[in-house]
Amino acid sequence: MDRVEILKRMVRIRMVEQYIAARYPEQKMRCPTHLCLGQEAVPAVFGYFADEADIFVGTCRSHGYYLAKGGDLTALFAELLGRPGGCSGGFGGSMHIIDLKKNFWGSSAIVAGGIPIAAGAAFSLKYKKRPGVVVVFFGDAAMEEGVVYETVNFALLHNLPMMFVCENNGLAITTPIELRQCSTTLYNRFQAMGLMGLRVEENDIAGLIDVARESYDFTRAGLGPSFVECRVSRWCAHVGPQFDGPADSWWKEPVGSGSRSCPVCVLMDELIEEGKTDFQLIRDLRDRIMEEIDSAYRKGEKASGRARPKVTEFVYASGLTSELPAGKCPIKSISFEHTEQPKLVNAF
Amino acid sequence: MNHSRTYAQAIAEAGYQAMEMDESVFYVGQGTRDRGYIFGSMERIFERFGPDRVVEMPISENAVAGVCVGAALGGLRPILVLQRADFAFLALDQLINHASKFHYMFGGQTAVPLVVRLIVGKGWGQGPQHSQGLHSMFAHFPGLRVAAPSDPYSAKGLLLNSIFCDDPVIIIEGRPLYEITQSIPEEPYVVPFGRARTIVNGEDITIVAVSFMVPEAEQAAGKLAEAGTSAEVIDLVSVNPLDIDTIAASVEKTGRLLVLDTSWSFCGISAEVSAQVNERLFGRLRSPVKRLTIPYCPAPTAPDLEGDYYPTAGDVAQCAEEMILGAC
Repeated sequence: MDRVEILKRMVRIRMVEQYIAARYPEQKMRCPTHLCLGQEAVPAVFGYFADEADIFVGTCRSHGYYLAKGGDLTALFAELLGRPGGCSGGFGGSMHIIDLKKNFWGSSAIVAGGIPIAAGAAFSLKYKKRPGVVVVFFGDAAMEEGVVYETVNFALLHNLPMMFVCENNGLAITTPIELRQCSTTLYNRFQAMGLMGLRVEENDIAGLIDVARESYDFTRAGLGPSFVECRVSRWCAHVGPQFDGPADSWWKEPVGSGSRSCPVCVLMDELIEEGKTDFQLIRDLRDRIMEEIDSAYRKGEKASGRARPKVTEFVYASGLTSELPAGKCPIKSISFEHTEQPKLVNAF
Repeated sequence: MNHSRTYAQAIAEAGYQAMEMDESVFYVGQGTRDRGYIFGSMERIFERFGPDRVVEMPISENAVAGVCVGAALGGLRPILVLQRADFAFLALDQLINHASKFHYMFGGQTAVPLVVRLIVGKGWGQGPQHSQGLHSMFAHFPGLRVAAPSDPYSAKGLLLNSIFCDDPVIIIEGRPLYEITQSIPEEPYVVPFGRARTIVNGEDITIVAVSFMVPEAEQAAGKLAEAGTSAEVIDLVSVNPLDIDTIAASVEKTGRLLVLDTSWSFCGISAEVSAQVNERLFGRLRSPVKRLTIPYCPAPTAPDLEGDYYPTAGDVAQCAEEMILGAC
């Protein structure tokens, strides 16, 4: 297991988000943009352990998950810039990003919206006997949506290859979890249903690596779904690049980028102390990533992809008349003649 | 070869044949293996295809709808059946926010081939939460197809068309239609979306109806004919898209339009039909467009109140007569 590689992934996600934050005021990226600054560790670690066949499903705050699964950086920038060459053709923006080639199956801007869809993806893997697991990411607020409990039940009932990864940053937009939930402990909430739950504290990178691996191992072994609660801190506003602001911090002191311990620094310090990396290597890494980001952004600005589509394009995937898959297998005429007619209790 | 099938059997046959033709088709619903087989509309299917392809659902409409969306993204073709349409309200987040949007919001890269069968109850005190016709509400949202067949032929063909369509489709089935019998092809066939059906030809008035108001309209046309009035009856069949061409051509001929709906007139499909006909034929109508629907209140349960609630063929005929006489 290569923690230097995990650090690289974290730094890359951090730098992409910082780059977006820095350029957002130019008003060229004109869509609600939810940054994952401060929350880089979870996508980086779960991305590190993911195979190509594994599927990620995200939330409105999905840049980290998208990049962690190998999502195309130029296409991400192009999407934020509203270009037809964007990862969603300019129809989705930051909240609806996708990279099917990398098995990042999209993100929903409805809290908990992706969770049952991820279960459906897992159902399709099982139905078709295909390899892979589905990892669905969501925040602590999703735990307040009924569909999570419905989906956990379904996933357990069908023993689906699916991992629930909850990033608990303690905030729903600006409302602290204490005002929203009767308990702030999430990992054991599904214990009575039989869902294995693990928890890791903020900035415990070694612990995060352990629980991620355990969760993957459990689900990959065919033992069914697993659940991980990761404590994290969101550094910036719910949406947009601001680091603090009156509307976003009414309930406590403004949060600044330097006022919290940092997951990237924690891992970096550990690795430097162990002699696995040094400042020069980190500086080189930073320069290389900055070059990549700059180049991707410039390409993204010009990413025309196909010609600009009509605004009403893509409402429907197919026409009014469907084609039957005739010839695939013989059509049997069904006989209802010998069916025992049940007494209709409810005739209506 | 044709054979005789009830509306319920036509639906069962379509599902059976679709599952036989394509392994990616699966059913999910509550009561799919009960002896009643969802009022007969899933007869033979569980015995033939078993629990892997006929999935008994937890009573979690939203999660199950979401599972269907995810499964559809994964290349499967789910059919979700809810025995009462009213329960679809619990699944609206997944159906409206997700299923109907996924093709669009990812720039055409994904498709959600999902069929949702919703059965609308009528009579025997089904009451306010077991009898709502949701076709107009679903038709409001781009990205969904909405069909409401009223005869076995359309029911089978539309279900097959829906299953092999790459978009999410809502099929509204009227429970009172389930016993209607018709001779239909044994083989699988498709009925396209967006085609209304002219079931009675006439000259004096056009009556447009949907779902279980179609048999009432047909019967009303018979009564009107006895009285010397010639009514043209059109079954909407498809609610989204709407076959306004067929309706407008008929109204152009008759000059009068009466629209019947199983649901409320306010903001409903009857309002849409009326608006579109007025947009096309303003000045060529011989009388104002009239709508006859259930009154603007939830469904009552007592038999006499139910009698006051649902318009009948007699009400339809009377309304048509009054329009022709200029009394309404």
